[in-house]
Amino acid sequence: MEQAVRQGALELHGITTEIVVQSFSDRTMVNVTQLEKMGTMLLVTSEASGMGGRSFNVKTLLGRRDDPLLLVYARQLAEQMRLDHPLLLAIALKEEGRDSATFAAVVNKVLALGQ
Amino acid sequence: MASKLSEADSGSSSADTEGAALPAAASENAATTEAEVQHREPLVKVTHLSESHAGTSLIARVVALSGCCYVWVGEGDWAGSGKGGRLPEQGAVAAAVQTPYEAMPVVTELLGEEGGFGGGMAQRLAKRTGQMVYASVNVSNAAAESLPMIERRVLAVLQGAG
Repeated sequence: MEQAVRQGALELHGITTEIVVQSFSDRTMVNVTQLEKMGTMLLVTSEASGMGGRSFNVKTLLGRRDDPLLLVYARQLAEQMRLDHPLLLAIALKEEGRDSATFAAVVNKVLALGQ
Repeated sequence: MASKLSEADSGSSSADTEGAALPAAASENAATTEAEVQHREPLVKVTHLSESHAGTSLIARVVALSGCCYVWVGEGDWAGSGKGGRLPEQGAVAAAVQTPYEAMPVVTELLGEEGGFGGGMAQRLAKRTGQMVYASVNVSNAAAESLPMIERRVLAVLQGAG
């Protein structure tokens, strides 16, 4: 039976990022938080594109709509996780935790939790 | 299986224009970053609850954060799973937060249709705890009779965590 909830945490450059991955049959919900808050909630849906790949649609449900980094997180997680259903991402980042190294570490951690 | 992400894959379109010089530097940066990452024990508390009543079984999951929380309630026999061992549905997601403008917390459906059980539960929990509550309640009408019992237990978890 697939594990429904997986948790992890990582620290990089003094910033701790908590991650919770919840698997449902209709959706996967991922919490990424450096502030102990839910933060901005984004929904990522995907569909097969005509070129043989997939196209992704990221929609902000609640929170910051002017932060492109959050869209990048959502899109990259959805693409790397290769889900067959939507991804619901709740993400809260500190200003100091918005670097590319943290981004890569968080995505890798989410993928590792899913294995 | 999804491949591991290096910093070079972080979505920057400028990487495509810098040609062969970038991959070696990116690999070194990625290796350095991996060595610097320290994996910690998670501090976010996730609580699993189950409640059986009148032939129905409800399961709940509470993700407690600081000043906010996510609550999921579904039907099933095992903590954290759904009927028949399959993953359960998340269903609609509602959010409720107390404001100084109204006596009852403001509630809205972030996903799914309005009128489900999640909005009411989120609103009541937000009122009692003062937290912002996100709730997904995916139960049948027959199982809804047991909701007050599991809601009380969820409230106890949130008040204990707060």
